[in-house]
Amino acid sequence: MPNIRLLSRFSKNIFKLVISLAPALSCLPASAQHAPELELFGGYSYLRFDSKPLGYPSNSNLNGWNGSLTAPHLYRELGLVVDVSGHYGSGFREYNFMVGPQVTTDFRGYTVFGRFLYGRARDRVEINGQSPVGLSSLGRAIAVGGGVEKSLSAKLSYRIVQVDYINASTLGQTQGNIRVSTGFVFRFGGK
Amino acid sequence: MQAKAVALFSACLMLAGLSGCGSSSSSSTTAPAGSHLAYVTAGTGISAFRVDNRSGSFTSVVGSPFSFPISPSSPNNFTSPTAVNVHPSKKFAYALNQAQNDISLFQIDSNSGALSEVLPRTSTGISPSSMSMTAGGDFLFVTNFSSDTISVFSVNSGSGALTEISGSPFAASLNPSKIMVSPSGKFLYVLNPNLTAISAYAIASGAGTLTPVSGSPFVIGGAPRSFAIDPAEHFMYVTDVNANTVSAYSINSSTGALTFVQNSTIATGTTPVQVLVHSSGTFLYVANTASSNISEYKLDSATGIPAVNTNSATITGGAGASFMLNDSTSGNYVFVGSGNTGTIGEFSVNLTTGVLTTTSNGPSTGAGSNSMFLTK
Repeated sequence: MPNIRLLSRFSKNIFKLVISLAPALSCLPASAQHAPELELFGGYSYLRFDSKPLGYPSNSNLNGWNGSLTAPHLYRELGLVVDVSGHYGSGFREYNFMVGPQVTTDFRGYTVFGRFLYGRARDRVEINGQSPVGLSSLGRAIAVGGGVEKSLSAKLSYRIVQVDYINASTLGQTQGNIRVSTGFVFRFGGK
Repeated sequence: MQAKAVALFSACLMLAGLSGCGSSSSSSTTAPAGSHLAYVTAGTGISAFRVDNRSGSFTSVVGSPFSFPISPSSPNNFTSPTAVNVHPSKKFAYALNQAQNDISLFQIDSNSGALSEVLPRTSTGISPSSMSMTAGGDFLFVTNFSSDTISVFSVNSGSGALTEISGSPFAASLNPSKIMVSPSGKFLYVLNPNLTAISAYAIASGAGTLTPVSGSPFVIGGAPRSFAIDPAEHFMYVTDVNANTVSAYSINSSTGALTFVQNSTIATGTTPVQVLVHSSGTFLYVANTASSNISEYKLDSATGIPAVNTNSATITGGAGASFMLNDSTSGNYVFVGSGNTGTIGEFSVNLTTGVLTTTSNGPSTGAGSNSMFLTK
């Protein structure tokens, strides 16, 4: 089960980010100020968690969710994305909160995007025993990735696949995680 | 537009893919793939590592080092475990708390290898100094250095809990220190350094009770500091820190009695404090703390007599040697603990010649280490 307190903290962080982005958005061309196009993505996510640096015999498979809010065309094909995700597995909980630039373009009826993200990762490891112990750590996260979408209607797209490499520094180690997500994109605002 | 899209998507996927590919470490093809866990007592905690079978690299287990309060009422005062042992099931570990005269039981997280203590602790005699477990994990033997006894505990295979058996503690000779169950599980050998002797006991199968072997304690003379038994249980090797030698003793397979092997005494470096028979039974290593080196020998399989390994050169790494053991899964590595510097020296073993080579994998434990246990 997702940690409610963590989710609440992430929500607060998203709110802070939106507030902090307001001045930047106000500097955009007048045409874009009216109603910037926004995309809300939500869906399933798989994380190949690099648990070997933490002393585990092999890497771990985590399942969870991924969501993002994107303003894809702040300046032509350049936009901004806020990305959050949570993944869970045996003894692990892993959350990411990242923000960064995204480039989006169309290709033969598909939308293709690539982005660079920077933010924070929170990892929690459960050590089983008579008195289970949870080790939690908040650290830096950097991601590069991209994906492909197929438009289903003017307001809805299907994100076929999104792949990100997330380099996170938590629990005293650096992990190189691979995240694969899929889901739906809801589009609103715009012209 | 088309080229741009293809380039963008390809670049992103390539970046993601390449970044996720970890560098593969060099490995020995003779070792099975995989890893095992190492637990090291050092300072006020137990450091846990995952050791790669092939590369010999150490990775600290998350949460390591693990420290445990002496009592709930003093959460900032931690025990200083002096020895660690892991049950063959790899579900439980035990640590001797010499200052508190008790044993801690730990549950091992099956995923990570992390430790969590299971209370209450089990009392021992005064100043428990060393422990050894039967290969099946049925019994745990503990030497009580100051009360001159050996405590014997039966082990609950489900919970790991220890129960002292009837008749325990058993009387021992003066100041029992290092203890070792023989590979067959039939005999128990105990070093009595202040008696310059080694005591031998027969272990009652299934009961764990101890009966002194006829002729025990076997006087070694000099200043015995450490001993090791070959895997076939034919010979025991004992170092003398005054004479700077190592000698062989044959083990009677029926009675467990020790008999000095004539002409087996051979010079070591200065102050040989640890001795190790390689898991192949072919090579013998001695860590010399004053000369800060490791002596390397080949063993005659028939007579057990060691001979200087002519292939080897003097190798540094014996300083402050608090323990010496080898990875019995592959035999590829020898580990030497430093009670002075808080490091573990790792040496790769040429399985053909027995020659040791220093690796750069040895981890730091922060404080001086005093014991190590490697799971199989």
